Amino acid sequence: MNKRLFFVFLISASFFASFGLSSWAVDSEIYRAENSSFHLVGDSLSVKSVSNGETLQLGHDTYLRALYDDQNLGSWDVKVMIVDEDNIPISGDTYQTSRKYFNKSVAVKFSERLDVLDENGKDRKVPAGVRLVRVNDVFQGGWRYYAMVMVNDLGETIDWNGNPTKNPPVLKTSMGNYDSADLNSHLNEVISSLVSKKEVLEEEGTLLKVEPHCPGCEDQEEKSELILDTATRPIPRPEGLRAPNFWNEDTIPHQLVMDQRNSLKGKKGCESDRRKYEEELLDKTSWGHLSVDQRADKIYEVAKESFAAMKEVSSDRGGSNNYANSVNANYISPIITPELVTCIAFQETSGSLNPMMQNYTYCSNTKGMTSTAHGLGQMTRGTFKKMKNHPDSDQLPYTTKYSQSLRGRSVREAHQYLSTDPHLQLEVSLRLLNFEVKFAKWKNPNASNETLLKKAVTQYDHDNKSKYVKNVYDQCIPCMKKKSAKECYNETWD
Amino acid sequence: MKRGISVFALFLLISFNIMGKATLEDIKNLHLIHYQQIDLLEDPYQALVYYEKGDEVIELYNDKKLVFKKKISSVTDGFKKIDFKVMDESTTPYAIIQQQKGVHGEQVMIISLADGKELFHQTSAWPMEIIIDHKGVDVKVVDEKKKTSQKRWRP
Repeated sequence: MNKRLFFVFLISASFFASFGLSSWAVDSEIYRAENSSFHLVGDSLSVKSVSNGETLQLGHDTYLRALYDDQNLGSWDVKVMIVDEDNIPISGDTYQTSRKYFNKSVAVKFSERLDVLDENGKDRKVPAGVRLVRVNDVFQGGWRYYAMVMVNDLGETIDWNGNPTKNPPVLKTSMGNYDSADLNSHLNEVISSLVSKKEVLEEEGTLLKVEPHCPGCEDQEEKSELILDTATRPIPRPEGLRAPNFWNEDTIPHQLVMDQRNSLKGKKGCESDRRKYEEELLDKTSWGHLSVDQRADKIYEVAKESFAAMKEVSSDRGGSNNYANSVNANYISPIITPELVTCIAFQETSGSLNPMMQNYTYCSNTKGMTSTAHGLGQMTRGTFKKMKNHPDSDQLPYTTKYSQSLRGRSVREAHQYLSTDPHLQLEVSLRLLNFEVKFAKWKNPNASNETLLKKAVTQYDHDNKSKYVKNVYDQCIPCMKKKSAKECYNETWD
Repeated sequence: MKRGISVFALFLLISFNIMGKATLEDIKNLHLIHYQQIDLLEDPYQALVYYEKGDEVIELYNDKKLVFKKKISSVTDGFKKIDFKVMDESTTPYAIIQQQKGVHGEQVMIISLADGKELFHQTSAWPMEIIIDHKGVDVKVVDEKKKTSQKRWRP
């Protein structure tokens, strides 16, 4: 088909399809059930029948009606009915599920502040980025509104200070306000996605760049990437309340370190000033005041937790096709271990073992840094992007309890956001090592496990002539089988 | 209902997006990463880089005849840049290929376009500085301990 005609066809088809869908949406009002709220399941959710105890695993895009009980908003469970897209029950059965997991699955967050009436009936604004769960959709009377509670990343109900509470404030907002914020957030997500796709095309060399382009010079890169009109660029995603976790401040550590760069770069003592500032940032976290030895043990602990979280959501056992296995992120190679990524983190950050660590080009007297590496895995944005946008499938799915916090973020944002949690840093490194081991297996099906692991370590670093492989593979990993992480770190790197 | 308006707006946005970038999408679907043709010393040379099953494949042609082919892992060894250059003390053009090497390292290769031979190969644990001029190629490499050293290549 002539390409121009094809475009006309495509646009017309999209236009009529969208018109048709919008008409459908207007005509098809959902059923208004009293004392309940209507939800779409985001993350899969396990529910148990109240009548016969049968357990169901509800997949993404299942509709639910949650029954409202204002006396029990802090209880561990919530009662739900499985309904169709018009909120009509599919069966008469009622199910019970964990309120925490339910909240995690259905919570929404907006890219703009939301006007609400607070628990005392006073006007207040919910900060952008705070997760909200509707608990009652009220259609009766003169005011149609949603009653909502605020929740954290873990699905726990929280108060205005972000602290978990069993007695959360119930907020109200008009359906118009809520729907409007919902629409804007969706549009922002789409625009972010387009910006991200454009970055991928540029990365792959398939999109003409605005010259001059200086690789690694972030400031110039920012300018050369301005293709979308500023009016359509996404609204910056402000950070809302966070779970009391590793990092609790609104501005992420990576941004705070970068904000200091102009006053430090190119100056004598920059390296020590940078390290000092990174230590100050670490002191604000749950790792504050840990000695380097204690950090070594902590890194191993986090590696085990990140690895367990990955295994929990990656149940594929792999098949006979080594290539298909290599690009299947849900298949974790049996030879990948938390010890491997722990030793990689030791090698990458030896001396400080600080998850806030920037790379040495921070101090170069250049406008932008020539490397974007940071954190325990010293992961660069380029590698992160290559994994996320792998041509065959996403090698960095945000499916674990840690990486869910990266959802909806552009590659640039997500890469910077790694600084908020060592679990995220090690998960990304584990994902990369997992991919590399499986890829090596595809290239050399008969290779021993030792060869495959060495290949993965080599791929992480630049060549096999350096001490990298010797430190990580020959010394640290065997040591971790016999001794503590702290001892292995000291024996290999001190 | 606003949900309807949302769906309508999204479709319109996506329609315009498809209209503007379809050619680039076509190229992307071909898994083409880079193509370049240049005339040096009155002869045409081509570079072609494409994605194939987990690898990026770099091919160099001397007047459409394949003289060099190399596969590099797409995730940690990805292609970055290629330059064609004729040096003062040579009658043969060279290709200078830069690629990623490891999570944060880089590598440079110099290939003779006359016969596809690899003449120079240097890795760096961190981004390298590279200067290509009429005399040859100078690189500043950084090892894993952040120590820098200079490497020089002349024809």
